[in-house]
Amino acid sequence: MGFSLVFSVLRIINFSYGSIFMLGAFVGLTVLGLVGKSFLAAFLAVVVVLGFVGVLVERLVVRPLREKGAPPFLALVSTLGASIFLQAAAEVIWGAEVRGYPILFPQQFYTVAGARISFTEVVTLLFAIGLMVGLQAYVKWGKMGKAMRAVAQDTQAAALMGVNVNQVITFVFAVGSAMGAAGGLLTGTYYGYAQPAMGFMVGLKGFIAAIVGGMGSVAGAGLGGFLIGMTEALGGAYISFDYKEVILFSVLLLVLLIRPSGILGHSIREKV
Amino acid sequence: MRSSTGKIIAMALIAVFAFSLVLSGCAKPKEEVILGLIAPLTGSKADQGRQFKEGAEAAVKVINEEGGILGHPVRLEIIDDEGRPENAANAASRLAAMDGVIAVVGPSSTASVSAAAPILQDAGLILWSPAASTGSLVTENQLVYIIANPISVYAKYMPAYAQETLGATKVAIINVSDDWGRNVTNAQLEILDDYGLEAVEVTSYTQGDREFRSQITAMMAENPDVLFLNCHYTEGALITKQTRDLGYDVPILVQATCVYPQFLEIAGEQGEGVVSFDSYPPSDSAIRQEKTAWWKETFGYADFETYHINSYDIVMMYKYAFEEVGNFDDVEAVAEVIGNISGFQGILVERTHDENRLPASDVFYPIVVRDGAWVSLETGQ
Amino acid sequence: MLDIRDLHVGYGSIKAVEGISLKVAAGEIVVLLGSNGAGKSTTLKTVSGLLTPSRGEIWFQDERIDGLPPHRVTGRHIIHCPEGRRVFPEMTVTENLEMGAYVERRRSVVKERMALVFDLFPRLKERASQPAGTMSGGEQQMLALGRALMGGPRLLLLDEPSLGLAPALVESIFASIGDISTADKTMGILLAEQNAAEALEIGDRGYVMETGRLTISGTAEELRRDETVQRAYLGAAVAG
Repeated sequence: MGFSLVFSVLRIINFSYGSIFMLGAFVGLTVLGLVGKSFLAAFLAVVVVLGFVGVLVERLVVRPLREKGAPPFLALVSTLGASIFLQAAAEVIWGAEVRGYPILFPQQFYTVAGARISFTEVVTLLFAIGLMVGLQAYVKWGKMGKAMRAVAQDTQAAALMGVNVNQVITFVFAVGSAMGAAGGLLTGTYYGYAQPAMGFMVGLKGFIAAIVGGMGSVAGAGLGGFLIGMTEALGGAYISFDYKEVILFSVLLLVLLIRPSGILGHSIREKV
Repeated sequence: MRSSTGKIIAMALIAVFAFSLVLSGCAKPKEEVILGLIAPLTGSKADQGRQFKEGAEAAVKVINEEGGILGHPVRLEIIDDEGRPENAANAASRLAAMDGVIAVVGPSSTASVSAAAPILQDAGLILWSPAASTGSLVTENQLVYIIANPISVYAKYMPAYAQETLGATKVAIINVSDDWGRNVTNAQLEILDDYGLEAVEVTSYTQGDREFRSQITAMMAENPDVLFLNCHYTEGALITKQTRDLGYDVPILVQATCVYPQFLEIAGEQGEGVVSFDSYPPSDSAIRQEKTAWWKETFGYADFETYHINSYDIVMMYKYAFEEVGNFDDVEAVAEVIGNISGFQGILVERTHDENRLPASDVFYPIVVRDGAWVSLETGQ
Repeated sequence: MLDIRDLHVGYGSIKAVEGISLKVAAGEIVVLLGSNGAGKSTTLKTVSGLLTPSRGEIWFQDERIDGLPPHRVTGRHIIHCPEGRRVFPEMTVTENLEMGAYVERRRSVVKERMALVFDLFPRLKERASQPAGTMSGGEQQMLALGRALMGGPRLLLLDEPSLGLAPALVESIFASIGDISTADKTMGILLAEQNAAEALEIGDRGYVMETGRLTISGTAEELRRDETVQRAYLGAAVAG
């Protein structure tokens, strides 16, 4: 979703999200080690710390290019560089190996319509949905959210309305990164691990989710993410788990061939 | 110019001559013989490599104190292959070209052994790997030996335990989809019947996968009595954790590839009760503790792990074989002696080879995770 | 209130504005006439901060404002209604108007202004929840004007409001601009236009701009009578 948010506002693809996601899992793990098993404390720390890292990425890696008027695809390269840097930094700090997550929630299980659901699943799912709905609502009704959409639709006109464009872009990176990092924490909690390499595939899948759902549409990105999960699980179960990535990328190709602008997307207008 | 160059060459020649005089003077009792050691001293398997080296060094120390092999002092020539097959082949070429090399310990993996074996075979040198466990390496190369139990041996551990101790009838198996994982699973599937077991689900994953809920759900839908995890430690720990997270308390058996501290760290509390199998008496057994104490007293450190044991025993069995044959030249005779080894008293267990020159053993030691550590499992408890 | 002194603006090595000086007083509509590429839009964009001058000064109410970023200029209630309308196509009419009042924190003021805009353009009220991108050009121009008024302008910069509109609509848009000016005599308007006839109708004074320089200036009446203006911009062979 972070992908989609930044893409919608800046028309650039921010590849640093994979690493921010991974750092979210690690910062969460570290905070849990320091303050005990408090999910909320970890969540707050992760959102604040990685929101700040997102701002740094924008200031150091994206803004200089934008100010020099470089074409947007260069930001793809520079954020990819930032991503690799962050991953290497994580390997230095936490080591390259997988680290286990503590158990945060009581091991309770419910049966809903014949399917077993754990308390952890319920919490992480509700949290993820809450974040998605919250972000969507904020972009729709919040003042900053409106400013984001205005910058996305017409940067110059937005500046003429009195929108501080730089501030909005910084904010977008902060919020997008905080969301991505929260995703990392949720994944760490749900699957029980953190690893420096975990961001790469996630970054790629986030990118695919954004493309499949329709670039620039936050709701579309959510839908895309859901479809990716379903494709992997069903493709894995009915075909072979060895091929789940092959299946996933085949579906991506198919979507792009049938609907180049994504499921919920509309064609990207070139700005004058 | 020319005259000064000539002078330098002349002086160098004199120096070399003098040096060789000194050398031959020193080696008065008997000429030194060399054991090559190819080990992954750096890279991802550095810990294993260190154990190769320490185990071999310990054995060489003991041998030299007792007069060497056939009266010749032994020296180790250690080469780091970083665990990479191409480096293992290079190391093999260097050892093949060196004078005085009588045999080779290492390298570590099946792939590295495959790369080094033909080169050493051409040079008439025996290769004995402390870590590789693929039986075909031995059956297809006359001068290759392994010491770790081959898959055909340890594939029995899980089914035997599942039947005898758990009384299970239905198993689900998950394996990493590499050669090793597939071979272990296939070996298990072949013998399940002998143990009254039925495989209700067999599934696999790609090395590096981290999320296994779909596979676990698919396996558990078949209501197995026990899970066999033919995995490496990271994935083994995550599968264990995610199975428990999903609320399944089915018994989990993991391969020895999971018996690492990292498995315990990743699996955390959810790793409690997981069972694995050691081919050696575990670290909390009386015999192991006695030997560890001896090791510490003799060599000055208490680290006494699987590959210390393997390397040490390989060097000791080399000594035995050379002394049985009585010289260093008849490689085929030495290989035959090694192939027929039976009841050789190693440092911790007896060593016997079967008719295929492979390690033969029906003894295994169940171990379990209890309070965050691998400990012996007393059967029946 | 607005005082531009010897302004030079360039894009790289191309010089778009070469030393113009002009003034706009409160209550005045000043028309900047000129053909495409004369430098009118560049002048307005420099005032609103989208462009930075290479030389010269811009003063607004005794404060120097050249080089300020656009949001700071807008904060001084200098509202630029850009060429080509530039409404936010995926936002509704109401949202567009709310964006116009982005710098205004008081909700009551925003409400008041919106009521005024709806009075001026009842059409916008009918379409309040329609995405701006789906409206006609005339409606979009109304929205652009309304959005500019939402900012509570002291100085209104209008860039080609007649562009691409049918003649009847042009007339009604200019009438609205006249009404806006009459309603608030403390507001100054700088109107850049090619449509000299309509613009001079409502304008008080005017300048003619050619290739980055001001060539003629005077009251609206004087300009209407100027032969050059008549020939070049009024398209009249015979003086009326």
